[in-house]
Amino acid sequence: MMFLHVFCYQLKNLFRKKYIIGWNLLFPLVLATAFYIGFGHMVTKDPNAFQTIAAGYAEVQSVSGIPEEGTESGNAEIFLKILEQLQTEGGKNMIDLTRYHSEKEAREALLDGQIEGYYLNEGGTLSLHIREEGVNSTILSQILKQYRSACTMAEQVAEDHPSRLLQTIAGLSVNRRYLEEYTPGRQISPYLQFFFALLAMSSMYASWIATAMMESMCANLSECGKRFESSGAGRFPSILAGALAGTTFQIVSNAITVLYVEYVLRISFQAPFPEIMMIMGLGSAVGIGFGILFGTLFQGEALRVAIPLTFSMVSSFLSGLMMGQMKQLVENAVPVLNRINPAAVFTDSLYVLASYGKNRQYWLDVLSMVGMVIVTLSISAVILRRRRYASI
Amino acid sequence: MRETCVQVNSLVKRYGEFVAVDHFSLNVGKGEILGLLGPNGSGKTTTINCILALLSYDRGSITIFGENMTPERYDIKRRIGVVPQNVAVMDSLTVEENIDFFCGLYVKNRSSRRACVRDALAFTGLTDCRKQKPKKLSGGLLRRLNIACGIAHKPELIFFDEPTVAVDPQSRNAILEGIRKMNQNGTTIVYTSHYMEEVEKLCTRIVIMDHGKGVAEGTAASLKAGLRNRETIRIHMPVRQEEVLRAIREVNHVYHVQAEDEDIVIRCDGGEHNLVHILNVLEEKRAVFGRVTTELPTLNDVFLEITGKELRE
Repeated sequence: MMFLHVFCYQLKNLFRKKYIIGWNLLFPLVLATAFYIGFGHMVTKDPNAFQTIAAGYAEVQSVSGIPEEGTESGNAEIFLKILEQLQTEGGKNMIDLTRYHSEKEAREALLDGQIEGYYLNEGGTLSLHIREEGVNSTILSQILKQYRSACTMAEQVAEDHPSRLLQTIAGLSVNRRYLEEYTPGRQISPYLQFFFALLAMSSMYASWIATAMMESMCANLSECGKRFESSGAGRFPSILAGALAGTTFQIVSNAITVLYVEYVLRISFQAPFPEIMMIMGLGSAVGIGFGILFGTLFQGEALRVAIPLTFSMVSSFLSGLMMGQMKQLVENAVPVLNRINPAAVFTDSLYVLASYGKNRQYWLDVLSMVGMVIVTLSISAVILRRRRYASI
Repeated sequence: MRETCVQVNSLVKRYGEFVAVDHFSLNVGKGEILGLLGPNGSGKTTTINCILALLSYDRGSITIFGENMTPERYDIKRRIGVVPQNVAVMDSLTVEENIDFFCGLYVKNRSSRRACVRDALAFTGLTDCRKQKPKKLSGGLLRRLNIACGIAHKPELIFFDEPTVAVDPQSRNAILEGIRKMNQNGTTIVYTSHYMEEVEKLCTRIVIMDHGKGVAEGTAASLKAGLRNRETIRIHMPVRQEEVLRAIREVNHVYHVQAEDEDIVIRCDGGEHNLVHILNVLEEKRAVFGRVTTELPTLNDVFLEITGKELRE
């Protein structure tokens, strides 16, 4: 109850502080607009235009001539219809589909380089055959995965609500927009890096929120802090409630920035919104963690302003906020800096998510950020534990 | 004998070589208003901060309600209220929200808290400006808000640290009256100030501090009873005549005559009608003088006699 009380009031407090609204919400929007004016067209035009993929489809009967149990049995026709839809939908071709009478023909076409891959319907069992790993093969694979996922859903419906089965089968489709925008493995515009760094800066600004919050809770930092620490509220639950309020505020602020960039400036981050927001949430928590650490370590008023500000700007600069190649330069000169710089890890996770999906590097970045939150909060907790001030 | 609320034994607090509190001891009985009086820098606030477990200290022990006070004793802290020397409120919250926020750190139940906030608003006379932000309040109202935030949860023991600094006389009287009412309702109060008149009017017992030490303790009357000075007579005399001063020194019960700017200050150690006798001397010597005032001893005289300096220095 006390936790909720502190959380609600800290959140209210943050939403009413003009300088927090200015720096944490409006400044990223202004900077995003400046980036858009400066090189927005380079992001929207460059390598994002979707290329039509040449694909094949072939059918062969199974040895028995009967569809195998537990396969897409019989519904492969629906899959073919979906492929045809993808070929003609919306006036631009996602795939250029060729039907082959035998697998041999399809394989020859694949080896000749006429197609990027072919789907084989073998007695109702669908499989994908590709020439080489790459972006296009990933997209073809995604189409099949989405179809299978939809089939699983249809089977569930058949089991639970048989009356709705026909309706569900009729609605089986592959989300074209999803594939177009979020298929991993695509090359993304180098200019998008600036926007990733902008989001990193915005998240690191959360450190500023945390030091402001710590100021109102620590007796050595303010009069309010003296009142707070002499009250009956536990130190750690209060600070955690404040940290959660700060993270919530920053997530909302980041969500507004992402939506503004995506829907007003119409620059796609090349990844689904919920997944971007998960990273944003984690980035905000990292910013808050560092802010709490700064608030714990530094007592001077000037330091409490200067340190989070310097931290946010320097870490964002090193992650490529003002110079696109900066992260690469750091990687060449002092690679460890890119591993410990929270803004660099943050931009890397977004870049990897947009380019390759949730691969090993993505999860490493996520784990790094989780680690940073744990380390900063743990150090702060050790310092704050049983702390009685020598002077206030 | 009164139950002890706060007990401080031989407290020592050093800042490097500087000794801020020097073997200071204090007992606060339940239901009393204890005044901690001393000039700025005498160690009053440091002592309060040590008692509240905000500051570490070098030696001594502190118990509150019979229990050792440490930073983790939230059970004890929940029974205490603090009104710090400087205004400690959140600028972005309204008056009512500020009181509710700080009250909520002690009172979990929402409806009880609402009642506490309403009472605190009424008690400090802030009901009409409950929707205003602190920036819009005058200095006096801001001080009242500072008090409301410290007392809303109805604590058993309240520390007021110089609550009337920079407050207009009207608000000051309202604050002192409020504190008196709280005490009448059973709250124990520790009141620090360097305004001797306030302490004299308000407190049931007074401890005088200087250089971190307790230099005197007792009721205002008992402290003054121990003084040699029983009356101070001040005469405006721009043209000073040594012969007149010598004659005044000869008057019975006059023990000290001192020139202060254009005044002469005469201190008497007892007797009656001292002023009449002195005026007779002035008439005899045909001295030219203006305004004449007479004062009974104050706590400043107590401080002066013990430390050799004025309390306001």
